[in-house]
Amino acid sequence: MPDLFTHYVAVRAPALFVRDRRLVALLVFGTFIPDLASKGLYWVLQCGETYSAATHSILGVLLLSYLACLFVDEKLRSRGFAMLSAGGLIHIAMDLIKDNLGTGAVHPFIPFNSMGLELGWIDPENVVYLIPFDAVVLAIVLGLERRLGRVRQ
Amino acid sequence: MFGNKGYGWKLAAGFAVIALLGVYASNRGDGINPAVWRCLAEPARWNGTTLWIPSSRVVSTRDGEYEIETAETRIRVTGTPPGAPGSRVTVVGVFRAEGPRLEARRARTLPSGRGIRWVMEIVSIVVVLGVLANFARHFLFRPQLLQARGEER
Repeated sequence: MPDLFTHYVAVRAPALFVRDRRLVALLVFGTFIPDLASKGLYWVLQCGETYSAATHSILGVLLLSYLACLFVDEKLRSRGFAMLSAGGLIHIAMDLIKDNLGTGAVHPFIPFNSMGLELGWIDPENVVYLIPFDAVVLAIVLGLERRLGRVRQ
Repeated sequence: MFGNKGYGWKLAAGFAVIALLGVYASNRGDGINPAVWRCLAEPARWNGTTLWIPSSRVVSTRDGEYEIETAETRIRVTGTPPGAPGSRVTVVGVFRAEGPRLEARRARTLPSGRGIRWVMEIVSIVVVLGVLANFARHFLFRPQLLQARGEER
């Protein structure tokens, strides 16, 4: 995974277009769901890495988002599901930038197809170099948010 | 689908489907990228399988081949060593039963220092804690307040 700051910045840009701050919170939380699930399975439940691969697939994200939205107020649930899912899918899109030597950074089509995909733009060990770039993007997003009169996170 | 009717069943079904998806991904994953020790235990079965070893250490080098250690397992690799003995490397290659050995397709060294990795981990943890704190501010233990706000809109 890229560092979670990069994931956070990646989801803050589309969050500019969401007015309801509760939905923004769900969108942002949604982008962390795949990693929270996979790291939880790996570190807490001691599952193998391949077991948690499903958390980074499109179907896995939709299922996890559905499960998470059940803990939200009923009136907000369907919109919450959409926000959580969007956040999770943005997470998968961001993970695609990694270079895993051609073996695939994510397997988005599990269980229908186990093909791995990656764009191969950055070594997973070097994602820390994205942080300064992320900080600039975040400053621009927060500036735009203030100018547009959106509620700040 | 998003209502409170049959809430317990929806919750249980969500957990069950995610668990089954994990089991499926785990079974498929064994075939896609089996552990090195499994290949060495059953060389004939895994002959010709492409392996990705995310992290390993170069133990020794010779002309046109080197030996790596990963998860307490050693395997001979044919190809130009990406680093000197002791360096951390990542390798993608095809497993060959005769030898047994790995025919390297791509390999590169990994950063030796852990300091920069720690920066990334710390930033990630701070970001997650911040997002969870914000999430709790909006949702945690305040369902009535949330409902009241929803009705105001």
